[in-house]
Amino acid sequence: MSPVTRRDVLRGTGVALALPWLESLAAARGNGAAPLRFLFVMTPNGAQMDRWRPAAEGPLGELPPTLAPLAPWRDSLLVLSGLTHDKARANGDGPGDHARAAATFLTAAQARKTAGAELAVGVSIDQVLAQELGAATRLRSLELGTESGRAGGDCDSGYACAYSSNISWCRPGTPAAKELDPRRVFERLFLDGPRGETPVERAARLARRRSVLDSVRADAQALVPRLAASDRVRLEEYLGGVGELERRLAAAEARRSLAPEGAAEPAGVPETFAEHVKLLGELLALAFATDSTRVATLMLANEGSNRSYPALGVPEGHHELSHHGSDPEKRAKVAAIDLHHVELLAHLVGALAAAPEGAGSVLDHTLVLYGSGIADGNAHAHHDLPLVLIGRGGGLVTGRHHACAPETPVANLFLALLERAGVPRAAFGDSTGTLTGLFA
Amino acid sequence: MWLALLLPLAGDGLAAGLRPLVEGHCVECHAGAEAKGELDLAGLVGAEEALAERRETLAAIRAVLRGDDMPPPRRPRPPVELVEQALAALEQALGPAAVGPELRRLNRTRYENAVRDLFGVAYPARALFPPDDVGARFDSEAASGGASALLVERWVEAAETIAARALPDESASETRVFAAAELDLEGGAGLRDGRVALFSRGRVGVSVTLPRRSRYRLELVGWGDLAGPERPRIVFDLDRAKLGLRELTREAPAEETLALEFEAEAGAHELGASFVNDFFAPEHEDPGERDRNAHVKALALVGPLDPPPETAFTRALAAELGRGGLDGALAWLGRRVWRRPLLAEERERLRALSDEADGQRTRLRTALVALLASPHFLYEVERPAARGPERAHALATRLAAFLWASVPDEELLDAAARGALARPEERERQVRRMLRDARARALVTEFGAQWLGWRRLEQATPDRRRFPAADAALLDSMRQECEAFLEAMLREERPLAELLTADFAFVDERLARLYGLEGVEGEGVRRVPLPEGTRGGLLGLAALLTVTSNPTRTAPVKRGKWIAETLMGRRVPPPPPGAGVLAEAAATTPATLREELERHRAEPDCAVCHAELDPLGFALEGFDAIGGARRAADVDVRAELPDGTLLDGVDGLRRHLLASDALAPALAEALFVYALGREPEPAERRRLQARVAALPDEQRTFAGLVELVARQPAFLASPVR
Repeated sequence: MSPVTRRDVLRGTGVALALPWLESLAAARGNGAAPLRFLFVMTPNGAQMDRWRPAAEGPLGELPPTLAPLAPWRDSLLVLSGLTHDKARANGDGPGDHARAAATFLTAAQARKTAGAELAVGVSIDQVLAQELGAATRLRSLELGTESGRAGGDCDSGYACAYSSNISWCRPGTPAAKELDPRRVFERLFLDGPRGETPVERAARLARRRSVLDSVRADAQALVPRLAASDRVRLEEYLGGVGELERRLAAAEARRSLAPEGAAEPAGVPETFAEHVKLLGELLALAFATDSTRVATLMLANEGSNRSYPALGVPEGHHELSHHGSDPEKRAKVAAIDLHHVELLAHLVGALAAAPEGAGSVLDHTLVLYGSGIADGNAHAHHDLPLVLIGRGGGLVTGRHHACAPETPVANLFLALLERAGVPRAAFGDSTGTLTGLFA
Repeated sequence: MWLALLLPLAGDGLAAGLRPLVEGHCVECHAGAEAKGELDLAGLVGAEEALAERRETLAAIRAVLRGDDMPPPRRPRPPVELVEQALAALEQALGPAAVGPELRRLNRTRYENAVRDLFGVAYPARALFPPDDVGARFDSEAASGGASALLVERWVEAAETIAARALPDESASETRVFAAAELDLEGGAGLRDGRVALFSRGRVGVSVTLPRRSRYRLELVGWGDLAGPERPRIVFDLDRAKLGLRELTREAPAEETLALEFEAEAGAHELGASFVNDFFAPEHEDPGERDRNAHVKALALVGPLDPPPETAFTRALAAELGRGGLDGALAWLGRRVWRRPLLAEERERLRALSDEADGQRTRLRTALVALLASPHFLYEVERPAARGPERAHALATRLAAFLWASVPDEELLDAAARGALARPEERERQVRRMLRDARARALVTEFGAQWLGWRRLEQATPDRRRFPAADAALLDSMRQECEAFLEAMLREERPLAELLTADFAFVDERLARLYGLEGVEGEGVRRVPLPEGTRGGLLGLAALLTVTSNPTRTAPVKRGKWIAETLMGRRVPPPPPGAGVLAEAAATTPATLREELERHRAEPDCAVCHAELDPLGFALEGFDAIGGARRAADVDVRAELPDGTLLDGVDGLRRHLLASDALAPALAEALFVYALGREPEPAERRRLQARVAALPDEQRTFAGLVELVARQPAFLASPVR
């Protein structure tokens, strides 16, 4: 059991959705087996590995400085080392390591080097999971972040900005767009028509939407045969979106969805980065706890982000600093940012641990993968990546540091996760086999 | 015969396929030294061109044929069979054409502008839709990007919201009653026997969503305990701001209704009523005079009390309804929203979405939702095989996207429907009309912001310790300055060189302080003269100097790259593998930065580009990381280009840029990419550059280059490359 109480977690955050929703959850959920959830969280620009990696393999003793904020859940941690994203390397494509690091992070595939049209990388693991696990929930998946994609300018050495600002890809060439505004996230999760709507008005509204969806589906289907093959794919994406809305509409007709008692709608994007991430983390916990979705991704910032952290005494840009050239002062500043990101992660983990479920908490039925597609930002290394699994979902054997053989593909880890989710695949990205020894 | 030379390329099929068309309809003009359009078809005879060159000529012929661009107006048209035969032969020889996307989606900005221009509705698509982050230089390139499930969801929600705002319900006011149990209680308030008792400053509140801006009436049903010298007072509030005060005058079992009218915008609001004059005298001999309270049985909201306001859109729609009934109105609505006439079956489907019982406004609104959520609104559909009206309407859509970042207006659609857009003179006339229109400001706020890069101010985070002045307000002033400057260049048709040499700037008090200018006070940028040879033009704009800097210091390499790419149209290749570490690692103070970069340029791998880039950036070292002037004594602004040219500060750089005459072609190419949503092919680039070089002086303006791009065959014939 986690020694930390809900009150510890939410105390002093200043942005908490409110305490009470956690209390209403236990009552709201039925007695069925708790579902397995997956959350993937990315931090940009790598990490200072000497402060990240535990000294020894095996049981976790005192955590390394950067991971220290996770100490309350040390028994729920599995620190991974030795894993590599070979497809984030140049492999003949030249510079652009930040773009590739994000693009490859959950796809384990090589991004096609293009600045505009014809993006191609691969379907990310969260979206594969969402296809299977998402049918039962209001939303198939949630994709969250704090920084909007840049709609112009050079993002990274000839790579389209989409590669740096997305980790979730629903098709090989289409990122699953991420949401930044906590209020919009809340509305997607729980809002069901205007306040004060009567049942009759609601039925009429749903019926109107259904007929509109029928109509636009007919428009799109009539258009498909008139288009070239590459454009058909684009229109099929549109049709896929319409299909998803139809699915949700059917669910809404069957059942009204409501926010748990006490969960107040957030006002919008908070002022500070820290509050923004914390609020998104709480929403993710709320989404999992209410079984509104079982799969989610969160980008703490876009890859290559040059955000400055004045609150930490770091006025320089993160990316700029990550090329520290072994300057001790710069390395210390990068480490401060690394630590801050893990603190924000800890807030999220705490919220999952504080949400009761069955005999334990939601965290016990969740797998959070946290890390970066870059090891030390100075050298843009894509091997021995900073990665940690948090939670005991699927029977993960935790409380230890698992060192994999050098150059083991991250994709092998993904195969193991897919297998545990009941979505086995023979191969994923550049996998060479399934990573073993993770689960009991 | 020249066609014989094509045989090795393609065999009999090509020669046989082309000959009748070319001999009968082309060579009259396209032959010899004075061949029209620099296309010498006879010149292929005996030319020892590389195969690739010949392929290019053939591809050009194909583009012209596909685009239906030849022969020119008033020349006899070749029979369609000849054209089709030639096209078939070309397809076989060249393989399938490289085709741009035929399906391009509206980006967020164009969506927002379209809704504004069609209905007069402000819908914040940029805030609500996921970002268009697929493209490289311009969000218009995102057009070819896919649509995530989230985007489709937002499109459908937006369609519902916009239709409701564009065609608000005519139905008069409605009364919503919120019983005591539904009210939110605050302060001294308690629910008892189906009423709320308010004692000691209690408040009842309710959250509502108002359908539109109008007057509404808030009512309170209840009674008071009338003790003490005053009557119980109720203060009504809207979103916690006091609306007015009313007094309760009756005691149980009687009840009364207090009412208050107020005006509010559409959207979510909180309404409340507070009891504000508590009185408690427990010792009073008369029990009825001991305690003053208020009791609330219900709140009610009545409204909207005003009829929906008429807009240009609702008036026009009503006129169509009067003229042509529901079918006429649907046809009109569909044509505006889909930017082309509807097919009969499409109109029928819209009609079938609702029935007579729904009333006309509801029927039109339901149709409007379906129109707005349809791929025919959300995507530009361009088929290369399109001819006649379909082609003309697609061109109208492209023109509106380019010049207005929006959709065609009635006049442009009419020109398309009449077939007038096929005539170059009419196209030019429309382009000039559109450039004079207020909507052409999008060329500044959309194209300009992305071309020059000031949009990246949104992500700029200058270090406030080093640059205390650099708050959000200053960054916003910087943006305003850029917009005002480029708009002046556009509207006043100033010579392009003034982009670099302008002797004026647009500043407010904040910028004036940053620039060291006297006598400018208050908000709002305005035109002020500048001393010669200092800050005038793009090179001195604080916004651009800021976005090409790091938070704590200037970044000469970034500035150099920006100048080379944006103002000189160079393509700066990315650094080779393993590069980049040294330069960024070493840069701390200006002194060591210059040294480090000099050491770095000694590396042959790096020197290739940096020998050129770095001096351009060093010439701007007179400006700090937010564009403030540095003291000459503090910085070295001299730099030497590889060819020995000395750049002495911003003025030297300005002279160098003017001499290199690269700005006009660079701007033209950027406009091309913005307009077409893709990079030009090599042949298209050469053609564009030749046209820019040939441009007469009076057309060497921002507007002149826009017009030039709008008449490029690639623009007219898109999507075929």
